[in-house]
Amino acid sequence: MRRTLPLLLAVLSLGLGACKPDAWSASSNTTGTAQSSSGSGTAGNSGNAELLVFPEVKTIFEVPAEVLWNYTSHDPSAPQIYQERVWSDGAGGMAMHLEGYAEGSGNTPTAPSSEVRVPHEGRQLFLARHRGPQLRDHDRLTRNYTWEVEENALQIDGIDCDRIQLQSVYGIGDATLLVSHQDRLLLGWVLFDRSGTPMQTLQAVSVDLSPDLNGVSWATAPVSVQDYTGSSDDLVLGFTPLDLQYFGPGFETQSLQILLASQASSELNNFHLRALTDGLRIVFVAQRFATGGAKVLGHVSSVRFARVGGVNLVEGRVEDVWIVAAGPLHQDDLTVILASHQ
Amino acid sequence: MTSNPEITPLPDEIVRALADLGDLEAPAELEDRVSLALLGQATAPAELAPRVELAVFGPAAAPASLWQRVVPQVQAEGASRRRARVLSFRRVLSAAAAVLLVSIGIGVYGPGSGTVEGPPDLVAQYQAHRAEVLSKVILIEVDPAEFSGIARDLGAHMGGAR
Repeated sequence: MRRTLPLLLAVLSLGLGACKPDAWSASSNTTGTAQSSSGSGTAGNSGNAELLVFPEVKTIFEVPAEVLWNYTSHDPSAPQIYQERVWSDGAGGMAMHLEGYAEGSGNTPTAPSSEVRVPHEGRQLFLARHRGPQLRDHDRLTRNYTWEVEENALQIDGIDCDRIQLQSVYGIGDATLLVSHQDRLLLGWVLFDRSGTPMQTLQAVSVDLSPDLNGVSWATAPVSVQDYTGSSDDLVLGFTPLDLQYFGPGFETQSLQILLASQASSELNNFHLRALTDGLRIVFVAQRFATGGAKVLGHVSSVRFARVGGVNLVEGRVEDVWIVAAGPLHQDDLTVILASHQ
Repeated sequence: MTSNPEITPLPDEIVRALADLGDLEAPAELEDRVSLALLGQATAPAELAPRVELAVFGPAAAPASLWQRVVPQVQAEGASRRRARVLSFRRVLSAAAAVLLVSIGIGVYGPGSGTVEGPPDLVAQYQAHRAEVLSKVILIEVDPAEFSGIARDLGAHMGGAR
């Protein structure tokens, strides 16, 4: 026994060294053809620093491009398909025109009515930046997802693309990214819910990386925003926002902003808008001063939720603040975030 | 609870005293844990005593006289099996060391060395936290039209339905 115990301790320490805490995030990125062909994650020949590297992924807004793609918002009753033509100058300028729209699976998009087109194009900047999965925070992504890469798995408009399948370690929903093998551009993706059903899908139809950008009318923000830097901005905001005690499964604040809605209409109040990301997904939490109605003391006790296409909404009230959380995340997980406001 | 043939029965008067306490049921884990303690495979944690006491006797404390008589009985059974426990523990140690060595061998030389699953502690903690939060909150599903226009607009800005 006395001889066995030191041996066991030595063995245990070796085992812990081999499985040190950061090793889990490398996870399944040792599998797949990308790692083995590049040698960056092959077992036994590289350190964990290499294992943690997620493949480069760029949005098409980082390069000059003109792309036509189909975006599907998977509403449980009937999916909505948006055919969008997107231009980018690679330096922050972008434009998105809605060319087709269809409701129901199998239907071909047709020219949208102005009732659909005008508000959609009013959201184009926000959609370009915040819809769907992106490589938003490399280190956070590698902690919250495992992944496998299949090189040259398919072609999109003649471009060889890798398929990257990501699995959420928290089980909040997986994702698939289609990335051009050469330029590392994100040309398609699927966001799944936690049961494996698609919530949002996008796939490029045509890609032009040498676009003629003459005559493109670049998008402008319909509502002014400014960064929220702390209590000194509460006067602008019109109230003191609640603190967020817990950010959600693997999420962290990406930005804090004030939406200056009162500039657009005197009937609107300014909003506090927090963007949370787990490295891939994004969730927004809006707070505004709640006028009228019963004041809810302490913690939120009831939450209303609804599914709007590929996005879930939850809303509740704490004290004098109305809160809504929105994102491609199950309402239970959004509720955890909402209920963590104090 | 089922009987264990290797355990000497309790004195009749203790059995009668326990029977007089009524139709109470001990937790399912109790038998396993007591059996392990008796066989020397594990030591019953200190927190087990009050839990057993509470489960068997309810909120009222067990009669002190009964407790004093049960404890020596259990200790005597445990002592008679101490030798077997040491031998058994050595076997367990050897097996654990072998498993660890094999695991490390696979980890260093095998094909799946980087495929450690996610952080189970964090995942379990989150799931427990979510369950706790949801137990305190009433979720009410409503038609999206019942949400404020601003909430629906936020959803639409993120790719939700128009």
